[in-house]
Amino acid sequence: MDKLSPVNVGEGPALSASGLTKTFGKLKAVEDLSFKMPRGGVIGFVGPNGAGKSTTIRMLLGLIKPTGGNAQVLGHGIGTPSTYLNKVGALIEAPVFYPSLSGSNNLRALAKLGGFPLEQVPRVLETVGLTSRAGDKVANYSLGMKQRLGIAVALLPAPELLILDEPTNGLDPAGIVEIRNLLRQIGSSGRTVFVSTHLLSEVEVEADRLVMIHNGRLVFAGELADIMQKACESVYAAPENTADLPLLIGLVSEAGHLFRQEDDAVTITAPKEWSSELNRLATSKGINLRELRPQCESLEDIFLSMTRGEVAK
Amino acid sequence: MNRVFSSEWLKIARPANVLGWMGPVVLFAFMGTMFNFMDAATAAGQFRGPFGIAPGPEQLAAPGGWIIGIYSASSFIGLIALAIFATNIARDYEKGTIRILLVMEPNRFRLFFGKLITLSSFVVVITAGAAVVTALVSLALAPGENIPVDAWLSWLGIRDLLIGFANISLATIIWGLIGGVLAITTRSAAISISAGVGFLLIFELLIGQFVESVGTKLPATVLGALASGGTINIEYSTALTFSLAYGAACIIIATLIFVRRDVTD
Repeated sequence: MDKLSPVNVGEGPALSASGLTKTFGKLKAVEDLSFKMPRGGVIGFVGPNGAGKSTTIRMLLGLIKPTGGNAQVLGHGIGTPSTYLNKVGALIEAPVFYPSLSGSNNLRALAKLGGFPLEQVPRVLETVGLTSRAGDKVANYSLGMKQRLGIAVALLPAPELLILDEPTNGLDPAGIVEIRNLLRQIGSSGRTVFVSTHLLSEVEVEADRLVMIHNGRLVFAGELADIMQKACESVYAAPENTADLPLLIGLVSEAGHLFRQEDDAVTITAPKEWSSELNRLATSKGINLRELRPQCESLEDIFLSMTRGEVAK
Repeated sequence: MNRVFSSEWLKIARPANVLGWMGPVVLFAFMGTMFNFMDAATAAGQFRGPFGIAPGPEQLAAPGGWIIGIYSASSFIGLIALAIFATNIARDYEKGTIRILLVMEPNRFRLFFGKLITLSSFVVVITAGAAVVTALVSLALAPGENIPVDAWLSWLGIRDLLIGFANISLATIIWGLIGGVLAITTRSAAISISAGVGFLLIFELLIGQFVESVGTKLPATVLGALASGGTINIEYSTALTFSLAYGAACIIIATLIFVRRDVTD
């Protein structure tokens, strides 16, 4: 089966957690984590280093047992990973392989272990662009090539759900774009991609939904569009002729919006959709605008403002 | 279990790996056989050489005489089996490959037993290589030392060869299981091999010297007796019973740890 062909997604959420907790001695790595993510698309799992992302992923993959709470993957409890892992592809932290085996033989060994058809091996190698180096020993691979091979391993089961931990680590900019496009392609085929990263700018361009954690606790879970909507709540406008600035400010004021005047422009507190309304009003008064654009905070800014209290600690 | 076996076999049965491990095993078997024949001629079975007490000419001429050489090297071969198990199991933790193995085969019992079966098969293969070399070297050296080989080439001789091979294979696998439990416990190939060799070759010898009553029940001693088909001090049935008990204990402890422990590496 072609791994990118559309699939019929099953019922229920792809991933859900309820009060999921893991402690190591006195350290609470993950604390009371609850979220529910529907099937299909790309889910960004974000948080700074040490936030508990890898621990959560290990619990979802059955590698470590939670101290409390529970979670479900494709509708199955994480206490019985054998019921769902044949439909899950995973890349966990830095990909590791048997260095004295070739890339192709590493994949063959893992395909045999998982009971997946060996015909998948050349296909996934081609998907990640490693066909020409498939016969080389992994010991001779660069970090980026190992990362690609790790993604190839995750694709072996033709998975319904891909769980990837920092998949673009070590890749050059072209490789990052390539992998990002691949993940989008997989996500749009009906499969679910759950991708963890500490690079918020990365998920901003590739994710449909977000699970954001900090210090092991949930900060946000939901649609990326919802959180970004809140991020774009100001409009920047600059008249072509600086003398028109007072008139422009008058229009803003009449419309009932708060504003902040700058040297030769004005920043208005308003949703980005109001930009077109302002453009119409300005044109009707004979004001040509040199610049008119919504001003959005980056996901990083939003994350920092949402966690400011904890960061301050 | 077949899936685990074929996957593990692909990794372990690479020619370089087979030759790398088989080389020292064959060398020890070759040296053990050489010393046996040299000692038999010079000391009439009373000489204690680097491979233990050498057999006399009568023992060498008996139907099982052509496999005796490998008995003398059984402890060395056992230590290599310990290293093979320890290296293969511990490296999955050291390198982190255990994570992806458990994602591909989440049934931990199946994965672990599949690994044990693969490693056991591997050590049997290299032990077979050592047995073949032992038999061939014995056949080559016997005429020079005036040892008759008629009994070796009889049905009785072939039977004794196979029994001897089975005994040493079983002993070698149990040496390997000791390496396996140490590797699972320490998750380090170097530490498990050092601990295994240190205990079995040094500490066990000291215990045997000071507490004679337990000296004949310790792992390296009973495994040596099992490999030789019994000794003057330890009957074959006793050696077999204790060896199987050690093997079972290793499997139980290693399985419990493997199945229950979080994979945080």
